[in-house]
Amino acid sequence: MDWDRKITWRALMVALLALGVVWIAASRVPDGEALARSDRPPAPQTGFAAPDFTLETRGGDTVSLAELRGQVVLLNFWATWCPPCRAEMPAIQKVYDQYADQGFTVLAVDVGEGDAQVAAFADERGLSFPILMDRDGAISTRYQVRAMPSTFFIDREGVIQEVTLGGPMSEAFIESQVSDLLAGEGGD
Amino acid sequence: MAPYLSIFGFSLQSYPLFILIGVAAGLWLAARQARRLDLDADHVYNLGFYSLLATLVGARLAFVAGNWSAYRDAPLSALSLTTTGFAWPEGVVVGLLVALIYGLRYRLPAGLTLDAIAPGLALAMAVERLGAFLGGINFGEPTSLPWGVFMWGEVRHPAQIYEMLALLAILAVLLWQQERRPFGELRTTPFDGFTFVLFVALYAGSRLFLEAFRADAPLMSGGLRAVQVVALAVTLVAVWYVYRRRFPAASDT
Repeated sequence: MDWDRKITWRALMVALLALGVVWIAASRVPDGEALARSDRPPAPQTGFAAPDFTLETRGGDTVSLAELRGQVVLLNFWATWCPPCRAEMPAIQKVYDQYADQGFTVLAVDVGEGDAQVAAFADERGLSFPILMDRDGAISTRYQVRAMPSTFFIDREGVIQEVTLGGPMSEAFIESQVSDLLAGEGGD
Repeated sequence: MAPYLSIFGFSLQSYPLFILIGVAAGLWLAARQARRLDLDADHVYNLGFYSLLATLVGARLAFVAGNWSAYRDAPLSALSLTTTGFAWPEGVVVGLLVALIYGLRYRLPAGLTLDAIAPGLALAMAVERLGAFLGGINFGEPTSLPWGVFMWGEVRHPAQIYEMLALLAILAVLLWQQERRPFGELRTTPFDGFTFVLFVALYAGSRLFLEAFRADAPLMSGGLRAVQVVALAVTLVAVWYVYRRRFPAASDT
């Protein structure tokens, strides 16, 4: 009797193994498809190409994200009325100062405020990175920004590697992400 | 998708919120099942709580250690309250170590304690999966099935919901097995630790099946989904372990 049950158990294990192997083979991702994955439609999510946009800086120049392909980009959505946004600006500035000559840039997108207000804040804090004016909030909507600050770390290929919602981020955290991306290691 | 929920005027991120709800529900259920198994419910609750706390602290410390050049000048930045900046795999190792130390320190019976925790684990993970669905994390492969959901630019399998349903089904099996005592009035299980092994086998089995629907699955060479290979091995080891306990080697022919 014991023997019969043992046989049943062993048969069960063999069946499991066989089924498992068949299922793993069936749900394999063929090489072509694996490549297509890096070709996903852009979306504001880790692992996707960052949605492109063109905006005016507070100085009146236009900047588009696509032009910055090849550089590591910290894309930060902020506003002067948002305390954690204000709090993390000096940290972003420091990392920008340190890595700007190694292929790193910051795009700080101000959401829905007037030029004078933003200029006053930026001058007071000595912010030297590009500040873009998302006057009608269209770009922050495209990035599904619902809380500020929201920060996207974008690698040299234009792929989002890390999304940080909320803040303030510490200088050390920003630096850890940026230096990894510059070294081509991806965020973690 | 609802990555943010508005509660009393506060905008909260769904995924971390659901993890917290899942943890609270899981700890509650683990303590409840501990009482059913005549264990000290406070010890089981504390073991879970300290283990999770250690996971959190360990994950942040491991992240800081891995990025020491950035944190060297400002080690207090390790305390920053962001949901990113954690090395979770290392954190889980720390959490498990703390659970082990707690169990040894208070001489908790290993098998029964794991049995009490298993349903709580299944419940917490089911709630976490719902949070992942709302947050758009671990999204599924594109599909044309009628129940596909639009997420990140395509209609996709609601893979997180599949996983949640599997975990709820597993939870039902574990609770049925612990409450109904199908192995006789005196024993709820054939051996202490059975519920936990059952959980491991069923969960690994469900991942083996459902990983196929996930678009973010890590791939091995040949395009194999790595989690499936691990899950198959874990399922087989768990079933083999039950078999060994059921038929000890001494009675082998």
